[in-house]
Amino acid sequence: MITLDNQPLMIDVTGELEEFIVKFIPTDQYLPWLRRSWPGFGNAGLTYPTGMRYEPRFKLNQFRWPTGASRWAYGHFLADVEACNLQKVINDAFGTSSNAPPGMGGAYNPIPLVLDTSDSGGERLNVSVYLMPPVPLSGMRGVNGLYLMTVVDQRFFWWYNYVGLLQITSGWTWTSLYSWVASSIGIVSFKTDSIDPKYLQPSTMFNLPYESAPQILDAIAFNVGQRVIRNYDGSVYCQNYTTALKALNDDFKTHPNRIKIAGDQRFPDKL
Amino acid sequence: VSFSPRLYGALTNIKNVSLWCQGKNCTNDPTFTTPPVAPGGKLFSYQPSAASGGAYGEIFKETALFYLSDLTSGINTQTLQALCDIFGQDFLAWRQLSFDEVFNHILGMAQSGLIDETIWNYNALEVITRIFTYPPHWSIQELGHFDYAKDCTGTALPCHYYYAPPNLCCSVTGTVGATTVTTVKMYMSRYKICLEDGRLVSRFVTYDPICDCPPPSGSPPIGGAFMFPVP
Repeated sequence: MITLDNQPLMIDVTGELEEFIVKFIPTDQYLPWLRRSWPGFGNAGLTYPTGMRYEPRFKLNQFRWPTGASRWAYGHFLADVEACNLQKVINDAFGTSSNAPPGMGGAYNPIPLVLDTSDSGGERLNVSVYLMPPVPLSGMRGVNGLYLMTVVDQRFFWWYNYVGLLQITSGWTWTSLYSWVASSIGIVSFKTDSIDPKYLQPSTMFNLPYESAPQILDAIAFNVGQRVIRNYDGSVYCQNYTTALKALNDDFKTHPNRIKIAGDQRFPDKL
Repeated sequence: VSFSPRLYGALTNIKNVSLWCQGKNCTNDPTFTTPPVAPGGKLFSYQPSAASGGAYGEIFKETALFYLSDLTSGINTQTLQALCDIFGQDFLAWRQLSFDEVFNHILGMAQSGLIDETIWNYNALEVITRIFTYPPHWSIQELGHFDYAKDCTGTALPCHYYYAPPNLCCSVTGTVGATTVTTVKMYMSRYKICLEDGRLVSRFVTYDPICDCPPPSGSPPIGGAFMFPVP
């Protein structure tokens, strides 16, 4: 089952609901968010990774979790007010903020999203997400109580965190630069693999005052041969290749009964 | 299931990884040019082995500078080659593994930098977990390293030098054997004119002696400074 804030969400049994959304309120016309299509004036020296990624096609009950700091996890789900206490979810997801006017909301609170199949050998997905404002599917309240529930992980809000007056001098190291940016984002649990001293020190390329932080975190990692991952518990780890490979293989050793139904490693030893 | 690296040449067809570093004049000679590494930079390359390499090279633009002390050698050649080697090794390592796999059920797949994205589909027709690696050519092509330890500072700037007033003369009286000798020196004021933050700035550098010799043979000067005509 799928639950959001411990409330059950719907399974689109026939695919009819997804078809309805694609037909009448398609997300390729009203986008749930916008992403940068260029790095931005200040970040032009950093540039984007080669190639832009297009927005994936809308799919109901699909949750995506990318690696890196610049992209965020998200999913689209359905809530039926007959089965789900939507008011409770909304109350929990949109709290009050000290900055908000009296009586008004203003804060996004994390709520748990759980995807669980009883026959998956004890494995399930349990992550904290943030709910975007729910979209009612019917124009007539009370006739149809279905709501489109789009959720994102915390990385969605990292774009609102800026690196402040970042000015590189000869005393900066890659580790101190990592710490600066992670601190700017407000990452509580942040870890990096060791950085080879052959990577020297960061240059003034990173003098990026008040630029948005996620891209810079990804760029730092790339400069020192690492990649950024955000774990399901919110911790962030900048991994070397060997750590990443070990994490992958250790995970599969821990769960030997996973059933692969499609795909494989490209370029196996023998076809 | 076990993931093991493959020869990246087979995956991405990359022969070598190179860093392009611009040159910096560290000779204190403003007229110094760098013909062996024109136009003032150097390409450092990492090629792991012929067996694993592909056909094409990938070049990254560096902010690390290649410091030049003369026409043929760099001050930090080894440092930059080491940087290129470690970056090339790590860059190619990430490309040794490529997969796209779909598993039954919702799985709490551990996160790894090798996985581009983990996707869960939960509907009546399929309940699956999918993981796949980054696109083969995923890369950022601007790098931001710097070799502060070997950076040269001071007069190795794109400045032009010139002489201008005031010119100074002075005399020094000493003893040579039993004879008192007065030598005369003339100094010219050397300045440099540099482009600093878009502004043309002139700064005093030093006094250069242009004459430092004993006075003509014969009777020593009686006193005072030996005056040279100002050119």
